[in-house]
Amino acid sequence: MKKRLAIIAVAVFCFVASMSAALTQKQKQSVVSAINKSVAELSTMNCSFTQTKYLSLLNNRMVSEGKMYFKQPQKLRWEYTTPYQYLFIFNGREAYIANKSRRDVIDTQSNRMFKEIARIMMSTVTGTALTNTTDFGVDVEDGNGVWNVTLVPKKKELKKMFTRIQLSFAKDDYLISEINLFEKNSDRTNIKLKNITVNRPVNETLFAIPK
Amino acid sequence: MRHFLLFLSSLLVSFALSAGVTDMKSVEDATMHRYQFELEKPGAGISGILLLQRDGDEIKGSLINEFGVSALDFVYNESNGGLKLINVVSFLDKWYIKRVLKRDLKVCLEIIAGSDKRVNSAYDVVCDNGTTVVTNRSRKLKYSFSPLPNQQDINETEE
Repeated sequence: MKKRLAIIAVAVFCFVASMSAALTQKQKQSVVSAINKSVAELSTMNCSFTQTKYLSLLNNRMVSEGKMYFKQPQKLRWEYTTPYQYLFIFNGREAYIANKSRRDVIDTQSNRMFKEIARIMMSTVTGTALTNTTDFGVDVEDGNGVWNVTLVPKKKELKKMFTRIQLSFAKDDYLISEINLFEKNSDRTNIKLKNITVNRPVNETLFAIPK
Repeated sequence: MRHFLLFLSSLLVSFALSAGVTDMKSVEDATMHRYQFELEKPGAGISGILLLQRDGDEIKGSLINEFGVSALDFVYNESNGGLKLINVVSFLDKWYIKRVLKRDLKVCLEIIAGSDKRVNSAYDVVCDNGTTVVTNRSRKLKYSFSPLPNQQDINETEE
């Protein structure tokens, strides 16, 4: 009986070990290349998303939902629809932020902080952050049906906020499916992208900044 | 820079005060209470989400932006009146800001918890359709505070 249990234990261990086997550097580069190729072929992308903020202090979480639209080059609309209304538009030059009562337009060319925020958002959503060795250290792991890419911030300002950012890419099409932001205070924000549509016409007015 | 940071801390405090005025009984149970807030002064403003939850004698709170990024956490102990700031975002993490935050947040939370229901006379308070707008006359700060719809509480941190 003991022998049988030992065999089962070894089998389970081998199975688990094989599941979490580290990729070689060559394999990691191959995954990153495939993701880059997928991103390069991406002209538009839109999806809905569910954002879950895990609050370590409150031992609770807050869920919000919204829609995302992306269009090359560098156009992004990130819109929360429930439980609050909040809109972020970046058209490559200006950022627009609006809630139900306030609207702000920021020229990212003259506002260094927002330029950085927009750049990081864009590179994270599209996956181009993977090749940006100035901003992040990059590691790749084999997940369950996805490639998990971990970005460890290198820049001082980002390091103050996040310990790491994890992007998950579907293995079949190398499109981003999930984002996890790990904060220094042990909070985590998970963003799951759903109903993803790529390379279909996206109305240009979605990226227009109201005057 | 110092003045700017002090202004930010004042904004946060003003917001928390508004929370107390709007819903003084809101933190009487272990449910997490969520509020959308907006703080304005002429030419500037910020917005975000405040989350409050009672845990025994303590009220725990987190202030985050709409994208989910934390600005600060705090714990207020009702029995001894102590307030502890935790995990303050780097641009607010200065001793002179935290001193203001600590003192004023304590006042706010006492109002929210119902131990001191007097409204500070330095503020104008207007309640309209569930939203409370509070104006700090001396600093010309205007902020609005709106409870968010309830969601099913899930008392866990992992999926």
